[in-house]
Amino acid sequence: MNKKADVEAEFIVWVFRIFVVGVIVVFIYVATYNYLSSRIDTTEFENSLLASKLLYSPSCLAYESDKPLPGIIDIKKFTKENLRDCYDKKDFGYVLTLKDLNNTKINSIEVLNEEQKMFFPICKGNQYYDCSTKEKYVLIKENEELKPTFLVVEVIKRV
Amino acid sequence: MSKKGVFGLAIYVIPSIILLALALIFFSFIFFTDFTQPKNIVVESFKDDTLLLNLLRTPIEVNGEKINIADFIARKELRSEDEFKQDWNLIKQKADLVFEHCYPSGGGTIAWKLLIYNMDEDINLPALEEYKYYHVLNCYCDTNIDKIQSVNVPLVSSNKFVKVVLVECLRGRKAAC
Repeated sequence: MNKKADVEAEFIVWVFRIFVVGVIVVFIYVATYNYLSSRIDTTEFENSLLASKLLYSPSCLAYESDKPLPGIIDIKKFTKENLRDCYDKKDFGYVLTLKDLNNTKINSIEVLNEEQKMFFPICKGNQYYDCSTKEKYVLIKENEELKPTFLVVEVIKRV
Repeated sequence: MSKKGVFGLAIYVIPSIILLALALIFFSFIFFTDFTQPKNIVVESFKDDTLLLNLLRTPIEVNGEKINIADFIARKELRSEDEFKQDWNLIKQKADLVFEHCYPSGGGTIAWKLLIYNMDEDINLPALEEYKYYHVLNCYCDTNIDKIQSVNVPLVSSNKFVKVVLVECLRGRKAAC
């Protein structure tokens, strides 16, 4: 066999090797890039955390006699100042609404900054903000009486 | 073609086919995986029993007397079976107001049942009595249990207790509460 044939055979082998390495490099790059740039949405999770803290912690809304009673809301604690002390996080705002069993609004508190107030009504589908809503069946302690109520927790979070 | 030629060809063709197949699998994996969709963290591990607790704490008025549902159940044996079933309708109406809000049509469904046991008996044995109340009929809860909450209520007139069980049947759907 002559030298030319050897060079041609070697060339084909190298093309094949470069192609293999190229495919692997492109695959690793695309997979890594997609994985690193994928977004994890924690808004639902943070809403659950907030709702649990509100209902279970006596420093938030939980009524306390001898011990905290999770799920019962002390209406005296349902103030903006108390809620700011209870749960305040950067780029995270929330609105709490109390509704009776017939879905009539009793009271509502907004813990939002100016920007969040602006985006709150148009949160759905907005690329800069994520939002989530949860409802909890709670009892309100008011004048030694328990009133069946729904607590609606709406959160807005900057992405 | 000579033997050497066939062998030489096979060396390149077979790995090329395997490589192309692998590349196809790799890239179809990337193509069909939607990386642009944000991954949602699911919080099913979050145990929150406040729905059943609050349901049992809910005040009702039975025969002019203001009590809560847990007290009503605790005094079950002070009433006749018919009286209990009749008064239970009051509780059902109240509970349905909550359930209709939390489990709207098209969402998940819910059932609750009362299991009556002797206080000193093994809880794994069959209950002495069992009452089932479905918010939505034809809810096959026994085979589609997503979440269970239970609370034991001791009866005032005997050495028995009632295990109140709330079963959510979500079947991939979402509850509002």
